[in-house]
Amino acid sequence: MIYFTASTAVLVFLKSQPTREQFLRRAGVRKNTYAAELMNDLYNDIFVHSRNLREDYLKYYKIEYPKFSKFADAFSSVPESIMPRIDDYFQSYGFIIHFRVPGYLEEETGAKKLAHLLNTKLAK
Amino acid sequence: MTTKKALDDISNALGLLKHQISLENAAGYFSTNKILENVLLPVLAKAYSLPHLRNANEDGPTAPYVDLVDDENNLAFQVTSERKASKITDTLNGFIKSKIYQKYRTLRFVIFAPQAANFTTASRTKWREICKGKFKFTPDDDIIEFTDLFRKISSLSGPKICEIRDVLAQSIVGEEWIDVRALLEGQAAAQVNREKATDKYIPDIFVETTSTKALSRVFWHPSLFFGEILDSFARSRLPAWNRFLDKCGLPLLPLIDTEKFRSVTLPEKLGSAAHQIEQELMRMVTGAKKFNGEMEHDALSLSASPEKRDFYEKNSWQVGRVSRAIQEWAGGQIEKLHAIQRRVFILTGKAGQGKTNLVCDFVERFAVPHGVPCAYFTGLELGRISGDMGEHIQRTIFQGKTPTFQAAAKALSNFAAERKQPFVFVFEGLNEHSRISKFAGELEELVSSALKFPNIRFYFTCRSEYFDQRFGKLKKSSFKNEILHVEPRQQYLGDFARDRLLRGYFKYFGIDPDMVNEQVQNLLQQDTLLLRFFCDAYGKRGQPAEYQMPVIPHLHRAEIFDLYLTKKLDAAADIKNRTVDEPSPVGSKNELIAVIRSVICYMVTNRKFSDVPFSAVPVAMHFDLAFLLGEEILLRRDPAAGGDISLAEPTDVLNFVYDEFRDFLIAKYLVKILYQTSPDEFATFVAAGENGAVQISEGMKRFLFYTSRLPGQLEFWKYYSKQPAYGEVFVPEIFFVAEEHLNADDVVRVRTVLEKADYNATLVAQFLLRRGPKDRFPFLNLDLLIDTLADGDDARYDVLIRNNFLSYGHYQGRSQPTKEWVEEIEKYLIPRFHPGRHEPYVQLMTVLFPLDSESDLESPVVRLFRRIAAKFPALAHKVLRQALEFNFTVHRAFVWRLLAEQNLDAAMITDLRSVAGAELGAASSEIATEIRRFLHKTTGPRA
Repeated sequence: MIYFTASTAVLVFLKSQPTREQFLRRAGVRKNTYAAELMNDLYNDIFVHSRNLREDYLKYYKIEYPKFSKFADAFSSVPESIMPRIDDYFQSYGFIIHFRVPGYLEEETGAKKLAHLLNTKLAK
Repeated sequence: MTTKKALDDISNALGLLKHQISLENAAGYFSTNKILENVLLPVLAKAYSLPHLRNANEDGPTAPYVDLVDDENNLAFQVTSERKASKITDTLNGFIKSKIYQKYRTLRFVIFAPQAANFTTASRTKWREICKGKFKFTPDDDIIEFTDLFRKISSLSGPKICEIRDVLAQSIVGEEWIDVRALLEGQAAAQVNREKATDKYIPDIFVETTSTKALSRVFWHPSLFFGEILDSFARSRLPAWNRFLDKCGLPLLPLIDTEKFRSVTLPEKLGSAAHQIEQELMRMVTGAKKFNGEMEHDALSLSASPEKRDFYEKNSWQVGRVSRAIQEWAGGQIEKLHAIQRRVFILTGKAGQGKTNLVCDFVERFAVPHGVPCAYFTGLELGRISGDMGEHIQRTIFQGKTPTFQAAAKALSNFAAERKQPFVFVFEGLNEHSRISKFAGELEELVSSALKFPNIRFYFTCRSEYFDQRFGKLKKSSFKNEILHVEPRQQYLGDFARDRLLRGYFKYFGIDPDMVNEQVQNLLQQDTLLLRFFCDAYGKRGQPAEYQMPVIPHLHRAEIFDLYLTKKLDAAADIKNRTVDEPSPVGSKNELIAVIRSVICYMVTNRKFSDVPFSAVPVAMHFDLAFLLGEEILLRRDPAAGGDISLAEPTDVLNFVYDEFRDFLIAKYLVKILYQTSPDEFATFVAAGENGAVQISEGMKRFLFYTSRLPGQLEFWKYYSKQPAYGEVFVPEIFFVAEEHLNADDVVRVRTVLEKADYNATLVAQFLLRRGPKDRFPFLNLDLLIDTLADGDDARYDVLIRNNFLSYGHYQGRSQPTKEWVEEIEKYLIPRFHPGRHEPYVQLMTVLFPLDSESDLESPVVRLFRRIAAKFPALAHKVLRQALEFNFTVHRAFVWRLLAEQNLDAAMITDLRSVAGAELGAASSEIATEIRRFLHKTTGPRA
């Protein structure tokens, strides 16, 4: 599930993390091309450089914020529409990642592309 | 002391010792000698009646296998924390080999291991064989563990038990056995509750200042948050940045292997790990700086290897960006690493930025749940003590169980060490101390003596201006290198945070949002101080049970300030009444008002609106002044500007806690006292403001304006409304005046502003858009806006309407204003729509048709209008017809399109066809298309 928290930032809920190979395969890019480099960078942006809020919460913030929703709210400006469901999502999704989307994924088409790459849906 | 209590204390102390040994074992250093000297020697001597027991280490290395010896009884002890059989075997072998057994005929082992030892029969047989014929060794008697020692002590007489208890009390925990955990429990939480009780801390409204809080977390719980710092290295973009630099042929930045520090958790080792990482980061920053500023483009280009120079030339613009990103990232990490290493955290900020809220929130939601030991004091509280500050602190925490502050600090540091956490002294609001110059010196001394104990830390908050002036010398003190000074920047709050702030305030103060007009709520979101006063004035909090909150349809700033003043004066008078024995004949509240009046009088007379000297208040009133200063209810004590920190007794001055509140009080004084008693002097004052001789603030002008609009101030209004200052604040303040106090003059002025079609016109239109029709708002209403629009051209339309519905425009500061306007109408109006009463809203819809429209003339408002037209066709036809009378044209294509869709009666068709015919020739192509569509649709039998 992908939620836009701002025009350039998303909150992504995933059951599991795709491997780099799976991600590149879904992107349909050929090796050693500019597109492959771009997708590699995107993979890194999401799964290497961004925080998995769920993991951070469990490691460092669980005591301070008894509910995940409070933590997520303080750390990632969660849209009001997700707030009632986010504690349930926390139970069901292993990866909750907040990251800034590159310019080419900002518009609706880009967002759909991102959902495809992550094998998930774009929240309405 | 009873024997039972003494045994309990002994049990606790032995438990603590066991815990300490396990920690020290984990750290790799076991302070055997300390335990030998301070604990076991006296305890064993008393428990086993061995008055001549002594430390064998006094004999030097000649006694490698024994630690304690009794020459009278030929007895030796080996003390160990190891519980392996091999340790016993090796010692027995050594004891025999070195022939010590010839002197000491009995060898006993004291095993101080966290877990009990369990030796096999094979081991016992082996030991018997080793000792056979040399000396007697009976494992069951000669191996003593914690439980054996406690059992032995329990069998002693009461007085002996008490003696042992005293020994342990002095040796294990400090000078005296103290249950630090129990004594600390609740101290900080109680202080937080006191801050809540005075509304200085409002838990639900705290808005996180993320960077300050992140640093605080690291400072308070370094062993946990060091891990998070290491995680951020693992997530960093350093490898990607280096790949880029490599492509450019530029030297790579040194990567830092932080994973080797993962296992470091002990406080004393964390500092050194943090220091090492910081040094490596500094090297990285030095390397990165070369790419940004230190070397010119040409020099960099030349430094790039030739085969990569082409890539560098094409991407050189990115090199500086990467360099800055590295420096910024590294800077953030270095600051966090400082929070691990430094021991004095000083948070400074301007008044009202939320320092108290941050500290209370942090102690309540972080320190207490994490079990970080801490004690919380306020500058105000410390200012009230007459004796030594250290003495007060140690007495507050240990209730007289420690003889000195040093002993207390030692006990706290030891307690913190057991928990692998620091002990944090919080001193909140240093500036609130009543004798700051003396306090600054005492503080330096106290911190300096406490920092001798390794696990003690300090967390201070102070107003910026005070810190520099009065506590600046801390930065030159013996512990200057231990200070981490943080001054967060003013935080910008987005729509969402503002909304959350509002909801938090409402909840805390018991405001029912349904009783507050949405427009009022929007205005309150923009002004935190007004929000605070509003909640204090109308909330259920602190009110009698029977209090019913009134409906708040409008925001009347003066009324809110009046209510706030009354409430605060009542609170201060209440404190005074509880303090004095005899009630004042004129009433405490009146006496407090007199103090405020003397301060205001000084301000007006001297044309000086800040830093009022104490001498402005007559000495006889100083007692009352103290109640207003006490909790900074209305007034606060400030350092005199430009004061020299070396002055022994610097002059303090008076200021109002909130400048806007001061302006309110000055305006009240000017109108109710000066204007009444000396109109000429009032006129001189106002004139001085006009010609710049007096700095009359916007706030004063605003409150003079409000006062002039109050009932009973007609004469003053007649005079003041002719003054330029009145006109300067008319917009937007007229919209904060109670509806019943508006008049026809306001309508004329507002219309004039709208017709000017400038920035103020947009603002006024914004207010009118939020107001309802004439029946609810007789003077300033939606009808006035539509009328003024109707007479204007497209340019006026743009200023009054389009500017208010731009994304991120004025209208409620929302990002999708048109959509949100439609949603509001659907939510609040449609369910109770009345065609007569709500006609102006439908008229407004015809004006708003073009907003967010598509090329096919569809728009959110058009769709909403269709829904209304389906239910109330007559009303729809009427307003569409009226819309054709408007002078501006931007909406006309939409109107004609909608008219073409309607099932109109014959008379109306005839009328409209004639209008259409007249307009067609001069209409724009878009309008002409829609007119033709209308003419086409209405041609035929129906027409």
